Amino acid sequence: MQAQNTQKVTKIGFTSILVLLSILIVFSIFRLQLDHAHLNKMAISNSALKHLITMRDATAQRALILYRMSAMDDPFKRDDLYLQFKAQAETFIKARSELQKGKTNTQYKNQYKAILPLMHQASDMHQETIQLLLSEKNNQANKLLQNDLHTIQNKVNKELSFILNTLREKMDAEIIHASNENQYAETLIAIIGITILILGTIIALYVLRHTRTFEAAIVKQKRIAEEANQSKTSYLSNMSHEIRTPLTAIIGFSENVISDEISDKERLKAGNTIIRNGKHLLQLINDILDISKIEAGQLEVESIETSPLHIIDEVSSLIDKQAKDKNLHFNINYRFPLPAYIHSDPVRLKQIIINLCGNAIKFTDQGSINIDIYYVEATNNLTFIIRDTGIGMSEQACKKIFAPFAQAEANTTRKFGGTGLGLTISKQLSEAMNGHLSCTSEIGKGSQFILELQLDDNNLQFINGYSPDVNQTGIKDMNTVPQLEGKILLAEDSSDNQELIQMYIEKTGADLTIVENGEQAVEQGLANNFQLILMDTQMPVMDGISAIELLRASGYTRAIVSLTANAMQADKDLCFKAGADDYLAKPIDLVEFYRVLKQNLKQSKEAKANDLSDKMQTTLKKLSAKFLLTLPDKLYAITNAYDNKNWDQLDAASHKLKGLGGSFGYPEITTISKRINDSTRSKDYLNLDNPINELINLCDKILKQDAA
Amino acid sequence: MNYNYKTLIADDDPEMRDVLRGFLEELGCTVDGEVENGRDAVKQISLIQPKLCFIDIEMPIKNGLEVLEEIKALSIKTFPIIVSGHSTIDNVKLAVGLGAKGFIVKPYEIDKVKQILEKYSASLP
Repeated sequence: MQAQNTQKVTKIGFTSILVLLSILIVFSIFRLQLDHAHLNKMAISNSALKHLITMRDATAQRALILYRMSAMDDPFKRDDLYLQFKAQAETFIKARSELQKGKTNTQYKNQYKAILPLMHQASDMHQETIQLLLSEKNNQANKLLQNDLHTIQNKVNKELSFILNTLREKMDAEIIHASNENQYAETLIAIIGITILILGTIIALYVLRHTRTFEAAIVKQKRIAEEANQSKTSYLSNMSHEIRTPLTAIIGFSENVISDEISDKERLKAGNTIIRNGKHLLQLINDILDISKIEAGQLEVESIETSPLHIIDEVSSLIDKQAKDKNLHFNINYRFPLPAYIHSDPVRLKQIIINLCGNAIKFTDQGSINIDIYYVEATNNLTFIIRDTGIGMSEQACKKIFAPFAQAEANTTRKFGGTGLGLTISKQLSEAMNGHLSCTSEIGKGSQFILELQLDDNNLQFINGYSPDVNQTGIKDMNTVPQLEGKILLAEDSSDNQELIQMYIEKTGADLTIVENGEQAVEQGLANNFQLILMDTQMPVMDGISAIELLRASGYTRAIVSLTANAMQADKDLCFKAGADDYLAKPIDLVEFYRVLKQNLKQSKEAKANDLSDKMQTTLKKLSAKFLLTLPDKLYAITNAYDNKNWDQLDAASHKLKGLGGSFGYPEITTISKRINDSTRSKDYLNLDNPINELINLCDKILKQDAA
Repeated sequence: MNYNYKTLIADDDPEMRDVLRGFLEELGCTVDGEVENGRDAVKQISLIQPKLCFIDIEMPIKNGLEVLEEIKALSIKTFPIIVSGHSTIDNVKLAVGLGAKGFIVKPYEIDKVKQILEKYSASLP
């Protein structure tokens, strides 16, 4: 902003200086030309003056010469004077022609025109006098000289002098005028010059000062950036430390577990340590994800109908056990009336309260953890207070505790664990939910965290009493493995994850088929009727998203659940858009995993119940009766082709039986026929003996059963 | 749920047609045409205009994929389903690319057929 202003001022300033300078130059050139014109005029007047004087003097000289001639008797001297007289005439003529050549102005031309007859008269009389003198008529000449010529001569002189005076006056006036104009121009030039100087100085000073301010601002910005970088670096090094610590434990104890010299008790302990550290690492990564979402401004909170009491129930089912483990009392104090439902984000609200309660338990060794919940009508606020009787902290610590990785004491992490991000996230979350999180504490007495939610609901419904749902499923359910029946397809490229999921599914009793890319998933998914497909999103050859899309395009309507390590909302949306029914994040949460399985597969007891309707069974029976009638022929086609090594026929016959067997309710026939067909197609004729014998036995058995 | 739709089956194997017919009729459909090669399939589909047609890939004269191409070229309004003994990914991709709305892999199971009918029913306005 500052820099922009400076730039603006500089631009305007320099433009005006340029404009003023141009005006100055144009004006000066104009002035010079004007002066030049004046001087020219004066030069012309001056030369006219000079010539007029010469003419006047010549006329006077001629008159003088005539007088002297009239008084001279010596003919030589008189001739000399005559020559002089003529010379004067030449001088006169010369001056007159010069005068004519010069640029004369009309005024003195007219004046000159006025005295022209006089001059001619004088000239004529001069000539007449000369003629008289040359013919020795001195007396007549003298008379002429004394009377007429004298008068005319005086007149001419007077007229010429008058013209001269006029000219002189005019010249004087011109000089005064020019000098006045010059003075005015000089003043103007001086004013413009001084203005330019002042303006230039002001701009220079302004720019100089603002450049300094600007530079100062840049230095400040740089310092802020460096500080941010510094805090990012320390955040990263902190993070790296936070991640390394549990990893060290995991690797160390895992190495311990696989070594031979370890007792069962130690192995169990190591296993527990690995699980605890793994969970801690997962929590840390979840927290980091939350933090980066918050920092990127991508944190989205929902506003849906939420029961605050139900949330407290859920929190208490989790916290109660943890409190009991540490021999702490856990109380919930409801101050009725409380709103039955508010508009909020239940998941995030629970996350905040669990985090606060978790902290309370962590920092309390004896006494109690309390949750107070009350509603303030005046401000439309719902308040949760989480109180503990723990170690507490100073007022100063209370202030900085919401910063990332800032536990009250630098060494608390070591002693109490935690990611150091929980409170930062809780604070940011509560603000995103239009709430406020604060803390008060006293060393040795305990802390309390106050979460105030500003409600925007207008028509709240209040309840005056509440008893928690006793039939809650909480931790109790956690480790019970459901017993299921059905077929599951797992598409997963990592063999470690394949084994892990296989282990989870085997416990349920469900059938599992594993493939390692999307293409195989499509082929298998369409060929077999799975109750559930678990589809990893990132796989080679064809990724999970494309596979889901292709399956859906092929008319596959059964459940597909995507598995992904990308826990961002956008990734979830992508899965759902492709046609997935549900979504499981990796690492797999067992409770969630079994929930999804239970949702899509039948529990073992129900599974025994009839899958198909009675009517359908009758149809199938009718159809299969017809099939069984032709089964011996079909079997013969296969054995006959095999005996005669007619491979093409064997291919066709086994292919046909493969399609028919399962269709009529005999999947075993399809399985064996497929083996025969596959071997025939791959020209693996040596291994046909076994499946063909198996097929003969199977058909024999089926036909016997039917007969019975 | 009763799926009362007009259908056609194109398969060169009479027994396979029987099974599918049994299942379709069981689910409430009527089988209005049965053909055993691709050429007749195109002819009958354009004549009968079934809501759904089940087309085998491996058939004489014209295979199932060629039938799909013709259905598309003639812009016949039907819901074509490919039935095949092989769910090789290339076949599935080709079939879906040529406009197949479903892909049933033999052996038939009542549930596979039912899924297709469910999908068709859901696609109706």
